[in-house]
Amino acid sequence: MARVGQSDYHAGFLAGELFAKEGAHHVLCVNHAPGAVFAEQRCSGLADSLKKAGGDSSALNIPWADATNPGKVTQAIQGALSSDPKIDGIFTLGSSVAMDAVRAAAQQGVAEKVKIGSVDLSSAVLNAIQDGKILFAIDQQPYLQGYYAVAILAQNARYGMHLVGQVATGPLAIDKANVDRVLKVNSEHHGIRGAL
Amino acid sequence: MVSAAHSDHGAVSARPRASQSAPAPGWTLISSLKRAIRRPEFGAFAGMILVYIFFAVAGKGGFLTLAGTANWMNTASELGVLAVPVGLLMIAGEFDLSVGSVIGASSMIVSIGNGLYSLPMWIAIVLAFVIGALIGLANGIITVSTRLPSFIVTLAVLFIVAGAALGFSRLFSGTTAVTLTPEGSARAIFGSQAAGFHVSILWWIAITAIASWILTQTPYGNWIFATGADRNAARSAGVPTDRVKISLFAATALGAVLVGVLQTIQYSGGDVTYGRDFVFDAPVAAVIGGVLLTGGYGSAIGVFLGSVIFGIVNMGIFYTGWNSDWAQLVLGTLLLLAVLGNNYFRKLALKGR
Repeated sequence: MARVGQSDYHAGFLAGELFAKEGAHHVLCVNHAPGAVFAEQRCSGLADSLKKAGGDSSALNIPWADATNPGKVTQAIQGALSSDPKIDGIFTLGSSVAMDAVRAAAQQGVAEKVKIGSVDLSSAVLNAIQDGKILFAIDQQPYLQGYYAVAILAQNARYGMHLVGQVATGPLAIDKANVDRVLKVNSEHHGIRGAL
Repeated sequence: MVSAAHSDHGAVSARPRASQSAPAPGWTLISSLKRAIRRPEFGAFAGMILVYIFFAVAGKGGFLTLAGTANWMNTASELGVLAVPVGLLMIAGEFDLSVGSVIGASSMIVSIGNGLYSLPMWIAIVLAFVIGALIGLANGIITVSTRLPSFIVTLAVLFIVAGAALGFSRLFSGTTAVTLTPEGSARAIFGSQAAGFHVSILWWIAITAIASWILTQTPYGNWIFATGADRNAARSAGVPTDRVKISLFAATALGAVLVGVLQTIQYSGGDVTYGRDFVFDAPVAAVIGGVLLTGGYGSAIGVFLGSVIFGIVNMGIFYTGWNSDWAQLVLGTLLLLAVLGNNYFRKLALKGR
């Protein structure tokens, strides 16, 4: 049977390439789920890709319970920015943490210097991409993950057919070039491209 | 007589004692120092100074900047707004774990009500406080009428409210997090900031001042100590212990709603997961601040200092630049040391009486 989804390692790797292209070589990976496989893979993909581009990355682990507190996440990122002035990029692994990073960079007064990229979409993240506050968001197209998984199962149940191996729904980069279309879909069809 | 309930059972009132006789000149400084050490918040005060110095040195300078100060104060203030009423409830001998999901529920009531259904912001906020008060009353009434441990009752309510918040959020909005753009007076009162310092700091100070006044200056404050020290003795002395407990459960729930409203407006959106970190952080801050887990002893100023310590340790660690894998190890160690120190000073205080 097939797996419909995104390779988290490649999501992180693509993020590293996008950061390097914009000149960000010292990227903080904000890990709001330390120990979870998806999160570790995204951070290690980022680290490998930046290393290839001649940069590096460091991890900021936020304990699980604290990750539900936007204030603590924002302030932890501010602390990391303050302790390491080399940081010129922040990679977040979820859309709410992405907005915390935007706030942290602004409050620390480094919004101009520090580029922000994230995994997953929300209307707040999409608006921030349009405003230039977030460089990119990596879309794993969760709607397709649900849709094709059911379609594959239905065809398997009816006819015994199925796709083989990995069906990749991501990573797909959303940036200033294509964000308008995504925002339009997000406002017309809630939940298909990004959360509210 | 309430004070009779205290002395009969060897329980301790946390109220500072006035000096019995005028001290001889020259001894004034030493005796006032001795008196300060015997206050229930002295241990927490000493702990605060210690962790502050620790991170002032380890925090690479960033911790001491204005932004760094705002940073730990914001965290401490959100915690303290809730930890102070939780501390009062613990002095009366009860726990409230349900606050964790009340925060998330109230953030969704405000963000769905105002953000999706276009209710006026203030109506959404009042609705959140009313529902919160009802949850608090339910906690209190179930606890006092069944005599079950409030740890279990409020743990059950923690799950019930978390499930209800998730279910109703999905029902009304189709999602579990709603973005909001708060404006006007509600923004000013719950979400304004100056130089990075959030308005929650003012709420924190005000709530501490009121709680401290209630605890030390009113008969109701005396009832709280009496209820927590020995419920039966307090009852026979005429203290309405059930009413004391129920009203304190309502107060902790209202504190939780306030945190939910502060977070929703400060961070422009609600999320059902908000508040999970408060379930244990709030009682921990109270204990660090000198409140006894068994009830009957503590102070509002102590809980205030406990939340300062928690805020400093929780946020200071990120200024050190140490590998954040170790952050919780350091947090746990420093908190243990803070409580140990506190215990030492409390024993000193009790011996001196």
